[in-house]
Amino acid sequence: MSVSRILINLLTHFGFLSLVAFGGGNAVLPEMHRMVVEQMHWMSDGDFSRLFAVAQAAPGPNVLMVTLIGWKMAGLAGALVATLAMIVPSSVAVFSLSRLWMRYEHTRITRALREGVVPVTLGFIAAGGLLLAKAADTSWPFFCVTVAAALFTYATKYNPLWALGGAALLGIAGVI
Amino acid sequence: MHKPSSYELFRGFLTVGLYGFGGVLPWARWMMVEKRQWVDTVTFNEMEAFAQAMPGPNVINLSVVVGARYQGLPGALAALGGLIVMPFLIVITLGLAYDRWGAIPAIHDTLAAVSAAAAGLVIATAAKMLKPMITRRSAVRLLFCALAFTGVGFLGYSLVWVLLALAPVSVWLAWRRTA
Repeated sequence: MSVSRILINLLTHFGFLSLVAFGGGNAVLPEMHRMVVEQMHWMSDGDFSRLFAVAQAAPGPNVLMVTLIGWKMAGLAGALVATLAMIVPSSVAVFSLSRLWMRYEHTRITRALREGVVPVTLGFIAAGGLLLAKAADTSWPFFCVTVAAALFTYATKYNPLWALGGAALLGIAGVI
Repeated sequence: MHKPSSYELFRGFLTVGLYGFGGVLPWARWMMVEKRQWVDTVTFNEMEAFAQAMPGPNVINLSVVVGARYQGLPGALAALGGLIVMPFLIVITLGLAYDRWGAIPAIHDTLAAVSAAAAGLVIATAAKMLKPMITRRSAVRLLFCALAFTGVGFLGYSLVWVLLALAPVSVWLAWRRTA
């Protein structure tokens, strides 16, 4: 596939994804996986989960996975195109509607939207977690790391970065 | 309350983008409400609710709302740009390192371990969202959650179709509940 074809694909796919990304970046993770791994065959399951791990290691909002996918496919241009495609459409919607929303009191609509959309996006995020675990947990020690990291993040107030760091240490030490 | 200029919006969100490891929102709140006093708590909560109800990452939407409120389009661009520019450069640097050294066995193994943990973080995020939903009155919400999970996670349906099928019904039911 030529670079310009890849850029166009990144632009259209992520541009569309941006408008359905209710619940943020993690909610569209299953769809990203579907597109990048299953439909376009741009990378393997393992590549996808490792890129996600790299994205988690950077600060900032969780759209950076898209940046890395773009980067891997078409370098700096790919990273820019993918990131802008993921950010601009939803931001334009927010910008245009925020005026309206500030002018009138639309709290009931906002509440209904949020309350109605949250359960659905929660299902998507859980599905994303499942997909990532399936890709990353190639043997039972990895499975144990996933469970331990989930428990640590769920049950304590420590920064989840510690869980990633702990796993990195186990990896470096060759324990798993 | 202090009305920020576009430059201040850029600067403020620049620091938010750098601080936000594992969750940017708490930092955004702290910067906007406590440190720089751009908005009060009530306004922040309203903005946050709107940011959450719209597609796209919460914090990105929030930056657009705040920027637009004080400086219109230039303000929205300044806040959004400030928020995203450093994380973008950092993740590109990490991507560069991954390309260069990712195939080295020790690094490959380390990343494999980190990706197992990263899957755990996503699962924990879902669990945290689920917790307040487990009450007697939210059986309907749990049903929508289960349908979305099954459709996308097990049956492999496109997220777009599942969203289009479930979200309107779910929002309509929520609208009726809030009457």
